[in-house]
Amino acid sequence: MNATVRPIRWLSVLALATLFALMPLVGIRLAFAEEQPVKISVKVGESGFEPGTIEVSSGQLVEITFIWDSPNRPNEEHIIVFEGMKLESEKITKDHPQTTVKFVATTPGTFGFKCDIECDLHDALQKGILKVKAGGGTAAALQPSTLSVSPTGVAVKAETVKVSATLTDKEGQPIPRVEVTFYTPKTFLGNEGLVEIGVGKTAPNGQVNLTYRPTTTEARKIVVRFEGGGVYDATETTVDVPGSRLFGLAKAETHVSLQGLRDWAPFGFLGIILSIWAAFAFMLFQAWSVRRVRPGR
Amino acid sequence: MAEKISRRRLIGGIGAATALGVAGAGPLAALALPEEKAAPAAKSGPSRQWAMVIDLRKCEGCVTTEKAPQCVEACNAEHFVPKGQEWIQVFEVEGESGHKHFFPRLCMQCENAPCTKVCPVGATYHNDEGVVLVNHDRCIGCRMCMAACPYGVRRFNWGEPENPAGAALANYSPEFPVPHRKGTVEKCMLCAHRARDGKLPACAAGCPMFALYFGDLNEDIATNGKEVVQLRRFLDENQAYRLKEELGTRPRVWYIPGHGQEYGHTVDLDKEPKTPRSWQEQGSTLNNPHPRSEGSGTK
Amino acid sequence: MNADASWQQFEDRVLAPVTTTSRTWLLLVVALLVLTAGGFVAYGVQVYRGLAATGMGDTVIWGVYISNFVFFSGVSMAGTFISAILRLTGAEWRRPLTRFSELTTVAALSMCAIMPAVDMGRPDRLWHLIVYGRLESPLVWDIMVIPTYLTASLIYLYLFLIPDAAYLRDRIGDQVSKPRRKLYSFLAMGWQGLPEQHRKIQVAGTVMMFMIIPIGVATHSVVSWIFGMTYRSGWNSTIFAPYFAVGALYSGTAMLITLMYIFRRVYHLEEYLTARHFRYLATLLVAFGVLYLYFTFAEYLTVTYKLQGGDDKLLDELFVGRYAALVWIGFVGGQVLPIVLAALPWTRTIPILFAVSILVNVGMWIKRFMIVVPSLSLPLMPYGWGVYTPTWVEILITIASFAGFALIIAIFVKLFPIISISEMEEGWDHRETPPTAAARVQPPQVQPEPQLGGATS
Repeated sequence: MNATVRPIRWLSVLALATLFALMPLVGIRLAFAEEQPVKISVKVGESGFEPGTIEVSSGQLVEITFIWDSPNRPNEEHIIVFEGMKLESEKITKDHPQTTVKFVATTPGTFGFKCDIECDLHDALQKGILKVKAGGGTAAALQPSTLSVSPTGVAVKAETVKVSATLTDKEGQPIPRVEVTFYTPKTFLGNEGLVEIGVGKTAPNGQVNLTYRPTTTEARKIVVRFEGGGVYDATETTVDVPGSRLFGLAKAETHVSLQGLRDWAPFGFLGIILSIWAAFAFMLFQAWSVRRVRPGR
Repeated sequence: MAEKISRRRLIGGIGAATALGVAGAGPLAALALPEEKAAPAAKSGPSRQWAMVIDLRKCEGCVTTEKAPQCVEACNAEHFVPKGQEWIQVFEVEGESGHKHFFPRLCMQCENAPCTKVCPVGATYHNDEGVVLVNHDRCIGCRMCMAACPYGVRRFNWGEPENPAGAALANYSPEFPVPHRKGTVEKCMLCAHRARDGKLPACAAGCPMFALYFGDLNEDIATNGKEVVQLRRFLDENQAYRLKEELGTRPRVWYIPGHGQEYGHTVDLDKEPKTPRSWQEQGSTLNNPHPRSEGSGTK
Repeated sequence: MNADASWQQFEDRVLAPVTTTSRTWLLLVVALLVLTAGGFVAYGVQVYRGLAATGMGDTVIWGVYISNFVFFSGVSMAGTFISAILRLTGAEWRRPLTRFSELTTVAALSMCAIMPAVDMGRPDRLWHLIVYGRLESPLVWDIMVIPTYLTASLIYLYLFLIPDAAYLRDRIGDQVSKPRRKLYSFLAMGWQGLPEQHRKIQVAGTVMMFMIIPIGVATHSVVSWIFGMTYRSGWNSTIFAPYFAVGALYSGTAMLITLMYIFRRVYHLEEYLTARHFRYLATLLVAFGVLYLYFTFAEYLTVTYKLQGGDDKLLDELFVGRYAALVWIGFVGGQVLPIVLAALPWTRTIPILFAVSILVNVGMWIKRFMIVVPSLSLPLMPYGWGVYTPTWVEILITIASFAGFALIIAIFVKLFPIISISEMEEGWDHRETPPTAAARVQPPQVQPEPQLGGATS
């Protein structure tokens, strides 16, 4: 009897130990699944995009690598843009044949992607399709981004205001080639709103500039906003701009040609009419003076 | 002797004629005064140059609301406009494909207005804010301005117009021409009286689609009651155009091309526009506030 | 006194309407007064009900009133041309025509001046035009030029009337009523036919002769600019001023032929308003008609070639559409046929010329209507064509304006000789009719007026 119980006890301990030992592996496996982006390669060649259609699930982190593939046309250059997602790739050329675009597909739907340069293969590269299915992958977190305007980033010069903003990710690296919009809050006839005053694309160093001519003299705020895109979340920042009495200097008046002549010609006409009436008076006087003539001298 | 007398008299006669001419030139010079500007009301605040933008992408003639064009009804009610003399009209225009779209038209408030040029008595003029007004105390009803207007926006009180009971007590001003007078010309005056009070024009306030924007060229800003935009950017980025631009009238009303597409007005939507009601039928703004305004309107 | 029997006959013929009142004349004047009164009644209705009593609306804002305005301004060119231009050029054949042509101008301008006042929405504010008038407006140019032209024509008519008034004062002063005699006396300004008096009138008359031609041209130009300064199809034309001026010469000459025929028939003036006068006026009519045809052609050719803006729709309606009948009747009947008939020698007879002149003026009235109304009924925005039908108020007032025109002439004919006696006397010896058997008493140069017990020089 004792001989059978001892092996069962050992087996169960061994099973439990294995289970516990495997746990980290499961955890690693799960974690690995979370962070693992969907990697897709797309060749950009003479017959178009290869593959022409990409399918992902929303909430997934997607990495698409575009590979330059037109050896017969060595001068071809491409920049791939994604419609409706404000995403733009770097330029791929013969010498720089690969670029990767990363984004989190947040919205389900069908989006196109295409080459945005007037290259020779332009027509063939207009039909890329990206299908985003609802649900599916685990929701990947959008990375935070930061818009900052340094104290020297707001410059007022005569009637112009220059605002310089920088967009960086959580590591402080610049986020290039994304759209940033500038607004100013205004109230007009009792309606409050954010008035869009400019749009720009971040440079490779993450910087975007606005030159703005305010139309009223008072101080104002300028709101800089990044709507998010790619793998980044939206962010905004607000700066104060001091007032200046040089703001709102009027634009040049439209000049009506010959205005001087138009103003004075009617007086000329009036003068002619008056002289004519003076002549009438003279004639009537002549007629009346007929009465005065006496015969004989 | 006779000769001397006649020569003296001749000189005297010429002198009299000259004096008459000079004396006559005085009041006659009044003829030459430039067009009379309205006495500027004491006002504070920035100087404005009003303009209007009509976004045709948003206008669908109110057919989807199953009502008559609300801008027309709002204007009729606000100003007790006599029936058949609407100051703003919404035309149904058929395009090449047979698809109809809607086109509101009000006074263009031209900067180089033909109407103010030809008025013989200066009854129509620009005020300081660029609005073309009519002074009904001055108008002689010659209708030369109506002949000159290339947009057909002016209306004439051919007979005695119907005014509401309290109209006789209304404080007449060219900015708010009530009561209407027989034998004079009237038209949209961009609700200069409401702008004075810092409100949108009646048509813009009444539009349920927020298709009419009212703005100031000086401050370069406009609003439709919901959003606020930078006026010149708004015009540039939406390919805004003006009617009959080639005539050089420089209107202050811009149109953003469109066909009501923001409200689903497609070829399939085959609803008939309703006829706008007169102020008698819908009552005054005091009793029937505009679709979007809170409470009763005050002038 | 020129005792020539033919001169005596002339005097008798010309003074007959002044000294005697025929029943026909009385009936005519009564009829004209009734028609004019009808116009006043209609106007009263219009003042009460407003312009809603007319057929005008927010699209067709001007109708027959403005058509009449332009028509009468056109007719008024007659006197200017005959009196001034023909006098300037020394054309002797103008002598019998000067009086009634100047009268036509005065009568036409009087009616022309009334029409815009009738058309006003607020006639109680007529004085605004004087006090608040703006020099930039073509209407104000009208207000300035038309009274100037009317005054000029009146003065012109009067200056050459002075010797005739003296003649009447002396010759028939005792045959007429006291107020009339006083009128003649006053108008004669103590005229005794003295050389110095002649000289004064000559000086004034010469000045006026030169002045009235540009004033006349200016009037038609200004009237045309009421339309020409707008953007409407059919009005937005640069040649409107000369177009209207030539049209005025054409219709004025036709009106002269009409009146000449009437006076010739009614007052037996065949020897003075001769076939030669008709032929000459017919030649002028043809010349002006061809010139007017040229302007018409130039205008429509450029418009039809380009078909700019709304011009294509307007031309369609004018030539093949709703106005086609009127336009073609006006064109063929008023512009082409009269020229042909007046030019061809075998149709250039007096009765036919009379008919031609009526055709011309009917055609010109239609033409004025066609200028005013179709351009206004053309849609400016996407809505339908305007419709215009004159109402009884407008028709009555139009008839009254023509009646008023005729009335002024009829009353004048009663008061003064319709052919200028002094002017005829001046040129009596240059007349191509052979002198009659009776010898002249005095040599031609001296022209003393008949005196009634007054001193002779």
